[in-house]
Amino acid sequence: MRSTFLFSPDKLSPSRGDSLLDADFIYLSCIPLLTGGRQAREDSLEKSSARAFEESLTDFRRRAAAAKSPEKVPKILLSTPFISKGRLFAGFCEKFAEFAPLFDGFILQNIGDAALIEKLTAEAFGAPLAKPDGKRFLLAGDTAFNITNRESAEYWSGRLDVLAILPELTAAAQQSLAQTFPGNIIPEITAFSTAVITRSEHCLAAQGGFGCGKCGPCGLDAGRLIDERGRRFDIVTDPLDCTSLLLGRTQEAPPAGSGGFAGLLSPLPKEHVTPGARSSSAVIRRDSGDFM
Amino acid sequence: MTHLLAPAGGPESLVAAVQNGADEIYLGLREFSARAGAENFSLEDLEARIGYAHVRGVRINVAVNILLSDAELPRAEALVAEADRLGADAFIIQDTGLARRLAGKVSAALHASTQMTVMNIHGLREARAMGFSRAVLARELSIEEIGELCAAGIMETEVFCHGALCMNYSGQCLLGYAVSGRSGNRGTCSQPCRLRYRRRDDGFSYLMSPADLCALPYLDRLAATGVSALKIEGRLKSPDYVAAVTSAYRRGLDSIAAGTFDGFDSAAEVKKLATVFSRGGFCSGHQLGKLQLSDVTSGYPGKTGLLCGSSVGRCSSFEKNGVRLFKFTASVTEKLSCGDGISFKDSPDRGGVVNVIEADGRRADSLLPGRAGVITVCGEAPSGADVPFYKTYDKALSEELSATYKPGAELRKIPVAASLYRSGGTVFLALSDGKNTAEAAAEALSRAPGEAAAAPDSGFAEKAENVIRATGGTPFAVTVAAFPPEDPEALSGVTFSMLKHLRREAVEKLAKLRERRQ
Repeated sequence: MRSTFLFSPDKLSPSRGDSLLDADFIYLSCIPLLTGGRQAREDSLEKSSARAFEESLTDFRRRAAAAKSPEKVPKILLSTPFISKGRLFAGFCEKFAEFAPLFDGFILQNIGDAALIEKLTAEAFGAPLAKPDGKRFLLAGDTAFNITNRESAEYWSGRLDVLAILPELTAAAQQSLAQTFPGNIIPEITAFSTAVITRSEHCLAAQGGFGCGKCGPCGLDAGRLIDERGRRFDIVTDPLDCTSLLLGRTQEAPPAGSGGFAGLLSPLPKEHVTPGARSSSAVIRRDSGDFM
Repeated sequence: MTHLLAPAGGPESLVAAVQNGADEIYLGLREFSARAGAENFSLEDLEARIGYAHVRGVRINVAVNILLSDAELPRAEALVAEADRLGADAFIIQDTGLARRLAGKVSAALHASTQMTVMNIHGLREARAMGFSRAVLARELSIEEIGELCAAGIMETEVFCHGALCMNYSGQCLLGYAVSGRSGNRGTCSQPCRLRYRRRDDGFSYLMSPADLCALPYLDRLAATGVSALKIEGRLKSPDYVAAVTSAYRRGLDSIAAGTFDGFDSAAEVKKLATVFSRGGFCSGHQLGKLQLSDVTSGYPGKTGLLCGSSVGRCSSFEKNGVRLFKFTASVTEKLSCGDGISFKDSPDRGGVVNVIEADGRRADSLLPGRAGVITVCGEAPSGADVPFYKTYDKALSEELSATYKPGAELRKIPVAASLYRSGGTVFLALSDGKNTAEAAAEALSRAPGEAAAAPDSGFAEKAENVIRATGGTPFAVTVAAFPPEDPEALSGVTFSMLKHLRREAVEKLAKLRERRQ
C-alpha cells in the first residue's frame, strides 16, 4: 500500500496527472482548509478557501470513482494541526462538524488527538469515530507518535488503524518493526519523502513573531532556510498563529538505478521474522511526485 | 507549594542543587538519557546519591527520556526496576512503550517528558491513561495556557523556568537527525538550531538560536498558575551554574511564600545569572507572548556573559615573558575585578582574564560601575575600537558558589525537635523531623543505693542543651529542644560525652530513616 502527504489540495487536480489515484491513503494538511493564506482572518476569504478545498476533493473523488473499483479508491484523511494549540487548533475544533464529512478519516499529529477526534465525532455525529453515513472514520497516527518499538504500537491497538513508524529509523529497521506490529494496525514506513522535520511556535520566515508587521510570503510557500552546506528546508507558515514548519528530506535517496522502492517490500528471510509476525504489507509513504 | 527542580549532570552539580535549595533534582543514568553527553550516574553510584538527597529532603527524578528500540526496551526496563528499588522518586519517560511496560509496576511516579509534546488537556488525559502522574509541559505555552492546564486538575504539571530554549517543539524535531544523523530523540542532539542559516537572499546568521529563558522577574505569575514544579534546564551546565540558578530561584520562591516578592531584587539576581551563563541576555520565551526578533541571538549562539562595558578606542597587544596580553581603556557599567574573565561582542574568542586594573593612575583590585580605567588582560585583543565586552567569569562569585558544593558543605538544615528522657536506668535522646523519629539510648551512670540524685545545676542543663544542638556538619538543626527536661531525673547520671554519643547515634538513625523514599 502507498500513501502521501499533501500540503495543498491543488495537487489533487487533474492538471497534475491522475497518478495519485494509485495511492491508498492521501493525507491532507488542514492549514489551507482553515486559513487560505494571510487574509484568512477575513471571514469571506476563509469560506472561499474551504469551498475551493471541498471542490478539489469532490472532483478527485469523482475521478477516482470513475477509474477505480470502490475498494481501490484512495482514502483521504485530514491531518490534525501540527501544533495542538492556538487559533488554528481552535478553528479545527470549532468547524470540525462542517468539514469532517468530506474525509474518510484523520491523521493525527499529537498523542492527545486520538481522544480529541473521538470526542469531536461523538459530539458531532453521535458516537466516537462515527461518520454521518453510519460508517466509521479511519484514524492514522503520524510520525509524531514517535513509534520505534512494538510496545509503543501496541498501546494504540484498537484505537488507530494506521500508525507511522518514526523515520529516524533506517528503512530496514522500519521494515523489521513493521513485521511485528499488532495485527489490527497497519504500519506505515517512510521511504524517501519530504516530511515535517520541525514544528516551531516561532515564525521562521519573518522572525518577528505575531503581528510583527514584517511578514513576507506566508502559508505553503513561505520561503526556505539554507544551511552552510547548501541543504534546503522549505518553510510552511500558519498565518493564524505565526507558527512554522520546516520540511526536509527523510531517509537516503534510493540508489541510482534501483527503480524505486520495490526492494523495501521484499519479504524478510524466514530467520529474521518473529513468530506470529504479520504477513500483510505495510503502507509506504512517499512524495506525491513519486506517484507521477 | 511549587517545587523547584534542578538539574544534576554529575555528582558536583547534584550537591550544588541540594545545598542551594532544590526540592527535586533530575538526573540521568549512563544509558537512555536525553543528555548522553553529561557525566551522568552509574547505578552503583545512584543509591548513595539518592540517600544523600533524601536525607536533605530532596527528591530524585531519573530521566529515561529517549525513544527506544525493541532490543533496548528490556534493558531500559531492568535499569528502571533497579533504580526504583534503590529509591528513585520518579522516572521521566518519553517512550510510550516503556511507559506501558512500567505502569503499575514501579513504586516511583512516572513523569511524561517534555519530549512527549503535551500542550493541551487532551494530551494530559492521554498521558494519564498511559500511567503518568505528572507531565512536563511543552516550553511553548504561555502563562495563561499553563494556568488553564493546571486548573483542569488532570495531573501534576511541570514547566521550565530557566535555561536553554529550543526553537522547535521538543520530541518533534528531526532536524538534528536530518543534518548530522544525531537525533534529539536519542539524547545525542547536535544542536542544529545553533548553526547558521540564511533565507533566500539574506546572509548567514543564527536564525534559530533563541536567548535563554529566565522567568525570575515574573516568577510570582508563573508560580500562581498552580504548576507543581518549576524546572531549571542544564544537565550539561557547570556546578557553578546549578548553584547560582538554584539559589536565585529558591530565594524567589521563598519570597513569594513570604509575601515579599515585590521587594525581591530580581534584577540583581539576573545579573549574577547572566554572568554564569547567558546568550546575549535572557528572554521570557513564549511565556509572556510570542518570541520576538530581539530574543533570537543572531550574532552568536553561545555563552556571552554579562554586558560589562566597552573599550574606549583600540586595544594594544604586547607580550611579556612569553604571555600574550593586551591593554585598553575601559568604561564599565558593572563591577570588574582582577581575576574576572571577559570576552568581546561578536568575537567570543577575543578576551581573557583581567590581570591588572589601573584607576586614577593607581593599581586597583576592581573598577566600579560608572568608572573608567586601564585594564590589562591576559589573552587576545579584539580588532576594532570601542567594542562592548562581557564579563564571562566573576572570580568572587565563582568562589562564593563553589563553597556551596565543596565536600562536607551543609547549608540546608532540616529542622528537628530533640527531647531527652529517662526510663529506669536508660537515658533516651529522640530526634524528630515531624515525620520520622529516631531514638538513641545509653545507660545512665549509676549511684549508690540510698544516695540522692544530684540535682543538675542550671549551668549543666544549659551546656547539655548546647551539646544536643551541636549538629554542625550534619544536615540537621535542632530547632526545638525540650530543655531542661520535665523529668528532673533525666539529666542525672548523664555526662557530656554520653550526650555527644547519643546525639551522633540519633542523627545517624534519623538520616537512615530519611534515606527511604518518603
